[in-house]
Amino acid sequence: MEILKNVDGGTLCLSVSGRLDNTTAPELEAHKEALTGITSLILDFTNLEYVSSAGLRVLLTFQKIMNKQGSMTIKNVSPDVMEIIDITGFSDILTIE
Amino acid sequence: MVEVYLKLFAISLISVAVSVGVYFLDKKTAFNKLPYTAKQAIIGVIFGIVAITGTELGVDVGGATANVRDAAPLCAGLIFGGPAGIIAGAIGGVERWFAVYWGAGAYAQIACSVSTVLAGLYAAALRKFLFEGKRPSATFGFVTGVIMEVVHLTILFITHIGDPEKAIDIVSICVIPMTVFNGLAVMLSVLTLNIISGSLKANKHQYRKISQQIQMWLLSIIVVGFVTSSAFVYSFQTGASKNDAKLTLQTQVQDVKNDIEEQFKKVDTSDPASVAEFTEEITEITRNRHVGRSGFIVVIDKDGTILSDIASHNDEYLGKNISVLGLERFSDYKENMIFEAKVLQSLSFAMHTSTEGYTVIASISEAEVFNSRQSLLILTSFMEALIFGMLFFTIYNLIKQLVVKKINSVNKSLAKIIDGDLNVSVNVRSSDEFASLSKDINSTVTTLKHYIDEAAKRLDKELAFAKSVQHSVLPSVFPPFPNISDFDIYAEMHTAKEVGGDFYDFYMCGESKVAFCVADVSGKGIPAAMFMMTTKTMIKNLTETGLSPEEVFNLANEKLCEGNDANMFVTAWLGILDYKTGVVEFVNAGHNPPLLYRNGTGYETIKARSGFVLAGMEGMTYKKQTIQLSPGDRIFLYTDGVTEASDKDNILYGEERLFNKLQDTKDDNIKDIIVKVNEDIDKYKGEVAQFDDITMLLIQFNGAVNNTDKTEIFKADGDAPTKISNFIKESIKDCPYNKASLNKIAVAVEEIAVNISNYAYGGKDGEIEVKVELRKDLSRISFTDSGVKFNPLEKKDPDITLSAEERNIGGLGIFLVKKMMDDVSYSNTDGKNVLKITKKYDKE
Repeated sequence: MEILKNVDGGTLCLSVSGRLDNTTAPELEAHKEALTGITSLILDFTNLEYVSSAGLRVLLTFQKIMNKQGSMTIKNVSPDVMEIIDITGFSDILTIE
Repeated sequence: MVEVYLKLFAISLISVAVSVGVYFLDKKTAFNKLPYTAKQAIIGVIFGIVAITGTELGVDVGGATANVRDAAPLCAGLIFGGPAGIIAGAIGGVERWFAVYWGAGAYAQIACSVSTVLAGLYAAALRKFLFEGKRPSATFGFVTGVIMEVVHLTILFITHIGDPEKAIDIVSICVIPMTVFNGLAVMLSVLTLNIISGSLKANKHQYRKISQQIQMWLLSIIVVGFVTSSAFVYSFQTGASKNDAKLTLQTQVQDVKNDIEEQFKKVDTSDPASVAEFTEEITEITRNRHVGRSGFIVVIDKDGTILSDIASHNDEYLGKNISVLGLERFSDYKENMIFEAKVLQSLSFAMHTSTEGYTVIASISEAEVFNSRQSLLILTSFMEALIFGMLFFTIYNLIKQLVVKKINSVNKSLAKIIDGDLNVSVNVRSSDEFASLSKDINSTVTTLKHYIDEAAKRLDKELAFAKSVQHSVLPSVFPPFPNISDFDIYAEMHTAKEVGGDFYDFYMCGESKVAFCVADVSGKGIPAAMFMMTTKTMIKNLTETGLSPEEVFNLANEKLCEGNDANMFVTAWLGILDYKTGVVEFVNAGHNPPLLYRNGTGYETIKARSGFVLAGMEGMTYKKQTIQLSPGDRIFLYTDGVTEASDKDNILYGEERLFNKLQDTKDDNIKDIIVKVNEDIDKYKGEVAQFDDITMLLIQFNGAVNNTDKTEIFKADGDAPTKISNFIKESIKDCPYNKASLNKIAVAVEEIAVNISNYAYGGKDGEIEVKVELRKDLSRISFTDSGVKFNPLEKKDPDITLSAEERNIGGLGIFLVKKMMDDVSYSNTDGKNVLKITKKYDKE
């Protein structure tokens, strides 16, 4: 998994590629520290091919933080990943573009 | 005299003949379709004519005319109905009134007319109040006729009370023939009809009714009372009258004697002139003496020559011997004693006394003496007939009201209770005895009800227990053989309210062989359940010895026939699948043919000849048959409880509905198929109670693909999920899965692997065994660990509708597994957790 980080003022953009699974989820979660002072978090999943419940847990953690200080948007979700998000009801919590 | 009686008897028979005629008219012809009133009117007229015939055919019996007329209205009223009797009586009575103008006696005009009308009313009243609308017995018929004639003659007497002697004469002459023949006419009519209609026979073996017994007793007592009191009046009056007569005679005789003695003193016996004068004198003395109305007094001399003739006889007997009067034997009796003699052809009392060679004899006819006695007797008879009649009615009705009706009411309630309605209570409280009887019956019924309820409750408990025992002997853990993936099997049994005789069964029986069986024992309840247990055990024991199915059934049939006194039988279907080759050997003992699912084609019935039911007849031989299954093929076994489940209109669920439902669910896993079929049956029958056991078994042959199964053991540590994921990825790379399915399998595998590595061994060392089985149209992955016993499928699904703040991340993993896979199953065998996931291949 690779994560590209791009900060523009109050906006943080994280582009996640590869697999967001049990092994890699902690890596994404580590970016929690970077959220301080951020009002808009954008997650770009263009190249994300896989997500498991461990990944979903990180997304939920981020969403809870951003609900307090701004907003979180997920972009370019692939159908496979979208299905997981849909099945688990996360599509109602997350803002997906 | 005999001739007269024969004539009267013949006339009596007219009533009998007409009664029989009318009876058959009513039974055999269209006459009985007429309305009641018309029938009564016609019958009334017919018997009216019979009454007229009775009048016209009067028979002279020694100076009076005897008729058999009153019998007609009596017969009509007693046998055919009150109105008919009244009409017949009216017709007979009116005709008798006018019959005077063409020859009938005017003397009895009033009495005869009135009594004929009365006869009709009397019969109607008796029928309604005494006999409850039924024909009386012959005895009562006779008594009724006799009483009617007594009344008749009493009326005759009363209407001529001014001339009692003549009335008594006529009544005395008529009383025997009229009472006997009218009574006989009614009795014979009733008797004949009772014989014809068979009511005599029918009653022969039955107990007599209380009311009938009371009738008989009352009647007997009243007859005795009547006879006794009449006899008493008779004898008392006889004595009194005789005494009166004696006094009268004595006075007369003494007077004359005194006169004679007085005169005799003046006579000079030597002077014939003086003697002649004396005789003249005596004649004078006695001539004007009367003894009563018809009596007389005579004086005779020593030779018995009459010296003084009977008054008003103009000296007819003067100078003749006393024998002309019939009193010659007076000297046989003592003086001043009363004696009987036939004087001038009529029976009389007489007395004599002698003085101075002369004898004075006084006589009075018995008829005159007993005149008052007869009148009194007739009057008392009439009064007694009335009083006793009223007594009879009153006592009879009282008993009927107080006892018989209440007993009937108690009996009616008891009949309902006997019919099974225990909620009926007896409430006859008219008297202390009946109140106590009612109370006792009610408390008996209450106690009975209590015991029945208790027994029913106990029975219900025992049945429920029996049901649970019965269920517990059926294999109920699914999947039953988690380590074998060559076939899947699932079965359900839903018993009806009662314990029943269905069962299913399956077990291993030798190398790569599984036996499966469905059976239905005839009947229901405990006997069927017990027989089911025997059958199940027997088939299993025999099959497990490695016998082929037909041998199993041959032996089972012999053993089940032994001692099968209850004549129960079992329909059964037994198959043995070799799950390496897919060959099914089966045998059918009268069971409904199972359905075979051919993968890719659909369901079809296994058409094969069936053998006879088990336990039906000794010496039956069963034939084995064979089917070759291909991977994905299934066999669906069921009992007739499935197809014979009926809806509220009693229409059966039927094979077509079952077939269609199976086709609809052919892509489901075998458990879901059975669950859905069962749901469909439930929906179909709605509120209607389940009548029969519903049993279904479905076995699917997956087929063994040799050497494609792979098993690897991993250390349960943090690297395990990745290693396992890679192992699976490699194993299924040639399977026809699209990218999405591969992704889903990857997610499921990761979730399970993470769970086991993290939690199964609680931080200690452990292993995860992963097995991959590739089948014709699916692959199955099993995870086995020896960690803490844990069934992830029992965990509740997370609520996916909550907001981000409320969401808890737990349980999401297994939830994803369930959603991603076609089938997930958990079992715990030999202390190991086995989780199996199945994913079908994608269709091209």
